[in-house]
Amino acid sequence: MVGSGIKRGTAELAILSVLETGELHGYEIARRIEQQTHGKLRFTLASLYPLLYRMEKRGWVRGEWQISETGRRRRTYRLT
Amino acid sequence: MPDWEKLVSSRLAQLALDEHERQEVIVELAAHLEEIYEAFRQKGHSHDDAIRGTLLQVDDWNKLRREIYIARTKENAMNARTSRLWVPSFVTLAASVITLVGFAFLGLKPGPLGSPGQGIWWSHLIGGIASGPYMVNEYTAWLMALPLIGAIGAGLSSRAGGRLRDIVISGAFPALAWLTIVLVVLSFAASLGRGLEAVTAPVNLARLMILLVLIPGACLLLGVLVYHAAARRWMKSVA
Repeated sequence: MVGSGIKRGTAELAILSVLETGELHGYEIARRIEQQTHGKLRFTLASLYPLLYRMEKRGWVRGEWQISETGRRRRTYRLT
Repeated sequence: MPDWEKLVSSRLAQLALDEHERQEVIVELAAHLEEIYEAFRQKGHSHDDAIRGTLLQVDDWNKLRREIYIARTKENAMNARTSRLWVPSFVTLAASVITLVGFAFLGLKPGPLGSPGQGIWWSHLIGGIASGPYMVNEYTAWLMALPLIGAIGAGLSSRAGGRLRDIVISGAFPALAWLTIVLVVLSFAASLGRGLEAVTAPVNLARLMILLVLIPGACLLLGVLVYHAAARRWMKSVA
């Protein structure tokens, strides 16, 4: 879980690094980061989305609604 | 399958975004919770355990609501503080002053504020409540209006994403303002070399603090408390 010990810059870098591979939705972003850091960096919903929205506001990432293979609406993010 | 959109919608009911944007946030967060739940189920967890584990994703929905509001509204910290603290505070201050002046214009008998020299000031207060010889005076009527004013200030701050500290200050701001005014006037008088006695003698300082700060502050905080309790109960009822 992203706590006070993890600087915000580290969390943002982690998100940007997983998005280098392609666009992902929020759950996939959190899962990839957890996998790649071997569980050292975990995002809960409460810590992930305010950060994503701030990064989107700054123009670092862009979110778009898409329909997944299962027919669900998902908002995916990609690097700008 | 739990209705995650309904749950998120209820928990973020007070998210102060336009309806379309609020709905987008709800759908997005609900989709995330759904993925978490399905992951738990695929690992073999029971329905109840999966729900419990999923709900751990957010331990403070009010905090999440505030952070999403700030992140989505493109407000900088200064503007956020203005809408969460200063605007509600000045609304409550203006409302309290207008209310007091309004009651005075209604022709209510002057209470302690109008006759500070009288030693039986307390009878004006009690008499107003117990319909004694002084009936309802402007001061008593003002006190009865203050809980509503405090609740309005608390509501405005809460809607703008204010934290508990902002909500309490916004609701009780008039009392803080009166305290500041009293202290400033006393300091100014003291600086003129006239001494505090010249200012405080006709108006007992302790009585001034009680009538203008403590009792009104308690009434305002009562309104804040009632609003806070009602808001929490409503949140639980729609959850």
